[in-house]
Amino acid sequence: MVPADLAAAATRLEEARDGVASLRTDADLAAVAAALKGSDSARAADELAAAWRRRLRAWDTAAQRQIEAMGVTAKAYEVQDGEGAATYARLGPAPGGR
Amino acid sequence: MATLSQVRSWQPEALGLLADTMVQRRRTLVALQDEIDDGAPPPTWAADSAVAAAASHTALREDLADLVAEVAQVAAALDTAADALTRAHGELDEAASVAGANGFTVSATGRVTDARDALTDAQEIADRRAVRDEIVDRIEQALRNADHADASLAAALRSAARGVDGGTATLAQAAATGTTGGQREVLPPPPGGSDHDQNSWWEGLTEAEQAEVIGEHPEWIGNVDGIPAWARDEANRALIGDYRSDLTDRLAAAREAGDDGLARTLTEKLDGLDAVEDTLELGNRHLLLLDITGTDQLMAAIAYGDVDTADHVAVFTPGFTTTVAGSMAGYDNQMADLVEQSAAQAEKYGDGGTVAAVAWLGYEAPQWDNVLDPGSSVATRGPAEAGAGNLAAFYNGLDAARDSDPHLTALGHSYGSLTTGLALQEQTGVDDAILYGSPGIGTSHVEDLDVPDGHVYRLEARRDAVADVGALGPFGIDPSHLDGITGLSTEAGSVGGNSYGESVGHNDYLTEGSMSQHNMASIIAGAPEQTVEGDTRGFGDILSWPLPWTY
Repeated sequence: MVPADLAAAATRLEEARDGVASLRTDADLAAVAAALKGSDSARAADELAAAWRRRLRAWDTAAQRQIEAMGVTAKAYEVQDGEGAATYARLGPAPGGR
Repeated sequence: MATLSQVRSWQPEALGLLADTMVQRRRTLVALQDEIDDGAPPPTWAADSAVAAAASHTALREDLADLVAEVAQVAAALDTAADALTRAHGELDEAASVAGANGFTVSATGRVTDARDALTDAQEIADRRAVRDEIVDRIEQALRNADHADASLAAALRSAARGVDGGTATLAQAAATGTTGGQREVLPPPPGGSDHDQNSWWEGLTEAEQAEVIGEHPEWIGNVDGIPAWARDEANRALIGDYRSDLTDRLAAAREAGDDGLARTLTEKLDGLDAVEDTLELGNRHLLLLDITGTDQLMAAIAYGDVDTADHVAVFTPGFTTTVAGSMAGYDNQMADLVEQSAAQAEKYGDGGTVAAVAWLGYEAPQWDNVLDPGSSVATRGPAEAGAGNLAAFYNGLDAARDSDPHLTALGHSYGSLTTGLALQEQTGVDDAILYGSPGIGTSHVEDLDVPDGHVYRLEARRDAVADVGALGPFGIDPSHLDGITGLSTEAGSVGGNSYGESVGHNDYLTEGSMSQHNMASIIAGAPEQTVEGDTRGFGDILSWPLPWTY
């Protein structure tokens, strides 16, 4: 594993998350009810807005968890790698070394 | 159905703006492709945890693709709805305009009221009722179109709410999938609707939807009065192959079953399709009617010229022994000649307008084979009565399919003049009627015809015995003796320095260069002052003289 690669991937995923979060497609749909008062479309737009709200929230949460998991993994690897390096350091020079 | 005031309150422009916004949203999402790809677990991460992370990332990517597809679907549906509602508003505006121009008012609830009251003339009352019905039809169709737009948009929104599968490919691919899903299903024509209903339905479709109807559902419009000729033509041409296959299959089955009578009928219909195709190949023709469902015959109507735009339109209805297979080519040729003559007359003496003419073989004309059959014999009114309703609807459909009515002339020959006469007893919008070689027109009183006074003409050639049998059949008296009909000459003579020949017998009226053809062309061209009046009365007319108390 290259922790820097993992961090870069997490950063890109965070950008994607920001991009999705910037869209308020659920809020946009309020314009349907205003434009088509009393219509079936107005009711359907409300249903869709609620569905999109749920789905966007779920996607954002899942993306956040993925980013965090990647960060935790990278951190854990770095910690373990650091511990490994320390262990090897304690062993001293390799046999035959000067 | 949505009310008029409700539809009026709807704002298609706002929907259009929202559609644009959704398109921007879709583009923004599609542009995240690189971020989402780069956010995948890197290949340098090789461990069990990387496998789980990859699965989780795949779920994120596919959920995003679903969202892209949903947004794209909604954008497309909003755009389509905005277009459809804009057109519905335009149709309502047009209905209001027609109402205002004709002295009607339209209330907020859609009620159409005649501002003129105390009408006493029956014809005027009928005419105004027809105008009112047209306005009501237009409003109802506009509301139906608005309803369909609302229903289609609601369906697309609910489909998105349930979730759209954006697939596993790229986000751009998901957007394309969603956009396709946002296209609404085409609204079918109103069942049993009037010609104005059908026209309003057609005009309410987008160009893409009209193309889809012609391509996917040509049977919806091919024979429907009120649909523009160009569309009927394309639809009917598209159906010829299907009809030929159907008839060929049935012919094989009939032969196998040893049913010679049915085999003859089907062969005749197939020959009729050949005649139709041969005629269409000549160009400048529209196939306005093609019907294989007749008991004995193929039915068809072919226009020479463009009845959607011509200033003068003539519709010719033939009679006894007419079939598409045996007669279409000849009648089409006669109509082409008549159009050229009429156009020349219009250019020289009339308004310079364009001319089109239709050979309408849209009913099962009586044949020798069934002369003894009381239901379909030439000696009865049965076939004419069966065809008259369709013919009247055809006349009305020509008007309904256009923004402005043409100068419309009905031509009826022989038994076809009976069919024409019966059709003209309905409200048709026909401006002039020419009945020739006529055994009777279905009435003994010309005022029964819905044609302006002084605009019904008859022609009878020397030695045309058919034109004198009116007194013998149930067709009304011999038209030669009808008051209020103008007789036109069939004899040789000169007009405007041109010489014309005589027509003799029953089938010579449309011969090129004849006085008879010249007279018909002058009427069709709106130049009646160029006609030569005349009564060719022979011994038969003396025999057919009606007794005053018998009609």
